Order: sequence, then structure tokens, then C-alpha cells
Amino acid sequence: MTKKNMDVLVGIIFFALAGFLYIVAGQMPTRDGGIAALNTGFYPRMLSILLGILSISMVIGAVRTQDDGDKSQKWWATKSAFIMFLVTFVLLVAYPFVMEYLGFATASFIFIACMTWMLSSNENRNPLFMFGITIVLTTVVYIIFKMVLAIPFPRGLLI
Amino acid sequence: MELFSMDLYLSGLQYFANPGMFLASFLGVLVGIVFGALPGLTTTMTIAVFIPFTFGMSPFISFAFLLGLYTGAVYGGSVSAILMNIPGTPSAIATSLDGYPMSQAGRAGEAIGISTISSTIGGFLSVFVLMFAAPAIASIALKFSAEEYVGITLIGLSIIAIISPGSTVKGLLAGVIGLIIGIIGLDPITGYPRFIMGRAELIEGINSIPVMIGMYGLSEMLVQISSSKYKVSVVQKISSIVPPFKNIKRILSTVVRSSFIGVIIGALPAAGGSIAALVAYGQEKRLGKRKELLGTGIIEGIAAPEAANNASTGGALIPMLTLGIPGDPMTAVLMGGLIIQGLRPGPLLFQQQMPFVSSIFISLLLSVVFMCILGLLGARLYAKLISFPKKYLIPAILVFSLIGSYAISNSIFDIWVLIISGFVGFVFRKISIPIPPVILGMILGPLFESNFRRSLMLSEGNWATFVQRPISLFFLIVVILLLTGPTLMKQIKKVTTHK
Repeated sequence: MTKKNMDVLVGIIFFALAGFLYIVAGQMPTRDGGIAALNTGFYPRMLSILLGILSISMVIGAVRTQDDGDKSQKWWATKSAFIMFLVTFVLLVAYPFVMEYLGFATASFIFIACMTWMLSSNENRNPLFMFGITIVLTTVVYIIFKMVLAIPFPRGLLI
Repeated sequence: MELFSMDLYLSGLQYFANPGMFLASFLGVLVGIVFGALPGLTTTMTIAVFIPFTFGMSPFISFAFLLGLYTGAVYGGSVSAILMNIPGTPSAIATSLDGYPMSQAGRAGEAIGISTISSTIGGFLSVFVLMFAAPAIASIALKFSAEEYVGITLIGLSIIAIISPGSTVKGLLAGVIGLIIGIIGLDPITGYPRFIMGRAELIEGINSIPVMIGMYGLSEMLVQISSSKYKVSVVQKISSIVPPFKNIKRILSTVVRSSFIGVIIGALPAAGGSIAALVAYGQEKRLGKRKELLGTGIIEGIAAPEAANNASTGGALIPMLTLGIPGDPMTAVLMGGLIIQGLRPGPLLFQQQMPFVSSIFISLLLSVVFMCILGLLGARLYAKLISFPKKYLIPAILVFSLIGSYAISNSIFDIWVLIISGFVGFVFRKISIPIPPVILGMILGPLFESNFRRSLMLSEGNWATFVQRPISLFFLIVVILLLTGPTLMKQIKKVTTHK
């Protein structure tokens, strides 16, 4: 997608968000009479109008610019970068669950091990070294957060 | 109440006898330099990721550490700019222009030495300006009413929208998104819950620290992964570091001039170290004795931006401490660190927490001293560290972000806030919506809303109240000029060239 089309699309999405905000703010309790600023929906509604105006300006601005076919804003450098991004995202989402069920040290160990494995290219993978780094990093995290800062983490099955 | 008293300075002297502050400042500077030197890790991100480490500490120690990080990271950015031609932080962009050519000519050590000395002089000047300007501004700010705060918040948001990369409309839009995030939680006036989606965790509003770690830390890591930017670059070798006296003498006028530029630009709301450094470099190009050689690898080309970006640190703290309005994303994050310690920046801080304010002056001073020592002694070590493979660094930062977000209020919910913010930050970066206005909007949102609605309530709904007070009117005129100025200038230029 070119930068111009992207700006138009983003503007439309923000305009829809502004509309949604406007409607929800309108359903907030209001008092009859009195100063409008006292009502709960007053300020959110004002922001929704501002967002609406700005998103329309963005769309107009984008439409008025010349489409130079610039596709420089690539989301992923390569297909493998996309897969890495996806795996990172899955690991991030899994982290809180693993932390709750197995403990934060175990969750951190799994997370770091998977990430270092994934970010290393095939010829550069040294399992022993990676294991060492993962252990060191997990220990550092454990010492700082559990022992020094004494953060009460959820009690998982492991540590 | 007299804020400009000697007590403010004298009460700070006791902190020189506090070894905890020395240690915190030392560690802060060390970690700051290393993180600042690592390409892709900005100062803002460094501070955001490390805030959770400061929970158990007293506000004095916590801030000594955070200010050490701030000073260290702003300085550290120059190390990779010089050695790898990759500015570690945006403040070091101008440093690479002469730093890298020097490094290629085998003078990397000399370049780092000049950068350290210039940063130190700039840093010292900024501490002194902060010490004397801040109490004076705070005593003026005590007279501000809600209307003035509305005006000054709008100035901050307008400037950050204008200077953010991309169009002003996108900058303003990002600011409004930040303000919208700020409305989540109980209505400050009616107590009605807004947009809390049935989550008790949102009643007090979204916790700003996980949002900042997500938008700065997590999203940056996601960008690096998506663009395969974690391959190691080649680092130049380092020779002698401490510059000879004749070189220090040569750069002295450049350093003094650039330091003043840095402090003034830093103190302007929203204009931080990167702009200060570029302006100082620009001035060197105009006024420097060897201006024609700039860009070829001369020491003045390093001295100007480095003195300016470190001088901007003290300047940037002025609006944050005195008005409660952070000048740039870095001070916005620092303000987050203050708020979780139960301290509310603003003129009242000078009235009610004088010892703490004095400790800030001392901490900043200490951090400059440590920056000088660590900069000169540790250059070879940083050169090694910046080639530390990102494949290990990225997982480490991600885990710190995840656990740090949890640790803020021992809540899994905050991890979700982090992940969502990180993803939103990633999308925003890709669609060129700037992040700093979002953060500033979110931090300033509750303050803006309560002052805005309070003004309207006290004036019984009369909007003219914002233009009836002279200072408030002045602030609003500044906002209008800021937002319309660039377009107006363009139009005027068009008309005059047509003639």
C-alpha cells in the first residue's frame, strides 16, 4: 500500500473511532440544565470532535498530495522477519499465562531461550552458549526482581 | 512564600554525605551510557524500562538513579555515533557528522574524549541554570490559575506536535489520542467510570508506565525484529582518549555557546536534546572559526552538539519540575517516575518538598561528574559492549519490560497493557504517527481535563474566561501562532515570490 493510501485508510479508521467515542460519550449521564462542563460526557465528546476534525484533515491532506507510489514504509523486511515478528508476538502473549501457571523464572527462561534461538541464524546457533546466556539472564532477572525488589510473583508450579 | 531562598541550596548539601545517592547516581550513569550507546535504545526507552527498578527506593535515591540514567544515556548516544556512524540516541545525530569521519581517520579515542569534555561542561552549566531558574519560575507559576495551566498544556502539546517527524496534523492527532487514553477511569468531577470495560484495574486510569515501556521499549524491539535490524555492525578501534589541553582550549568558545543554546532550547516545552544538538551544530556552521571544515571530522563538530545535548538535560527539567509540564518524552517518563513515588511535580513541589528539590540539583551534579569519569575511563569497554549481539539484547529487554510492567502494581493486567501498547506503538511507527505526543497527551491529560473543566465551572460555563486573564490569553495566542505560523509563513513566501 502506498503512503497516500495508507494515510487515507488511517484517517478513516480514526474518524470511525471518533464517531464511536462521540456516541458512547453521549450515553454518559448528564444533568438537566446547569454547566455542560459538569457532565461526564462533556470532555470525551469534545475530544471525539477534535479527533474527528483531525482525521478528516488527515484524509484531505493525503488526498491532496501527489501519489508518488512510495512504498518505502514496508511492514516487514523479509518473509522470515514477518515470521519472527509473529513468533515474538505469540511468545509475548503466552508469557503472562506461563508466568501464572509455571512461575515467572520459568516463563522468563522459556521466553529468552526461544527468542535467542529464533534471532540467531542457522550457522550461528551454539546451543551450549545460548543455554548459558539464557541461564545468566534468567538468574539476573530473578535476583533483581525476586530477591532485591521482593516482588510478589504469582505462585506457579515451578519457580 | 519565598521559594528563592538559600535553604533550597543549603539543605541539599547533606546529600553529599549520602553514599546511597553516590552509588545510585554512579550505577545510573553507567547503565545509561551503555544503553544510550547501544543503537536503537533511546534515552526515553532506557528510563522507561528502568523505572520499575526504583520502586523500593526512597525518592531521593530513585531520582539520583533516574537522573544518572538520563545524563548517561544522552551522553552515551555519542559513543556509537562516533564509532559506528549510528547515533545511539536521536540527540547524537549531529555528533556522527564529524565524529565518524574522525573515527575513520583513526582518531576515535580523541573524538570520544572531546565528546566527554564538552558534555561535561554543558551538563555543569545546565545544572546551575536549573538551580537558579527553577525556583524563580516556580514562584511565578504559583500565581497561575486553572486557565493558565490549560494554556501552557496546550503549548506543550502544540510544540511536540509540530516538531515530531511527519505532518503537524498527525502530531496533533497523536496528542488527542494521548488525551483520550487519559480519560479512561473515574471522571475527576462526577466520579462516573469512563471506558473501564468492567475492569477494576482501570478505575484509577491506565497505568502510564506500562504504556510508556510498551510504546518506547517493546515497539522499538518489534520494529527491529520486523526490519531485521539486529545484525552487528563493525566497531572502530579506540586509541588515546583524554584530549590534550590545546584542544580543550580550542573548543572552549564553541562549548560555551552551544551549552547556552542547549539550556535554552531544552527549557522550551517539547524541544529536547536532539533539536538542541542540531541547532548548536548549525550555529557552529555559521559562527565557528573553522566552519568550512565541519563535516570532515573536526573536534568543534563534536563539541557543539555534545555540549548542547547534555546542556539541554537541566533545561528540560525546568518546565517539568516547576510547572508539572514535561518538556519532552524523556522528562515525561521521568515525571512518571516521580508520580509513582507519590510526588506531584509543579510549583508546590518547591514549597512542600524543598529537600527533594535540592536533592535533584545534587543528583544532576553528581551525574555530570560520574559521566565525565566514566566517559573518559570506560570508552574502550563501551566500544566492546555496543557490539554485544542484539539477539541476546532484544530478549533481555523484552523480559525486563514484561516483568517490570508486572512489578509496578503486581498485576498481570499491566502486562496486557504493555503488550497492547507495544503493538499499537509498532503500528503507529509504521503508519508514521509520532509516539511522543501520545505519551505527553496521556501524562498531561488528567491535569488538562481537571483544569479545563474547573475553569469552565468557576466561570459558570463562560468560555471567555480563557481570554479574559492576560497570561492565559498570551498562552493561547502562542498556541495559535505555533499552529498557524508555519502555514502562514509559507503563504506569505508564496505571495512575495509571486510579486
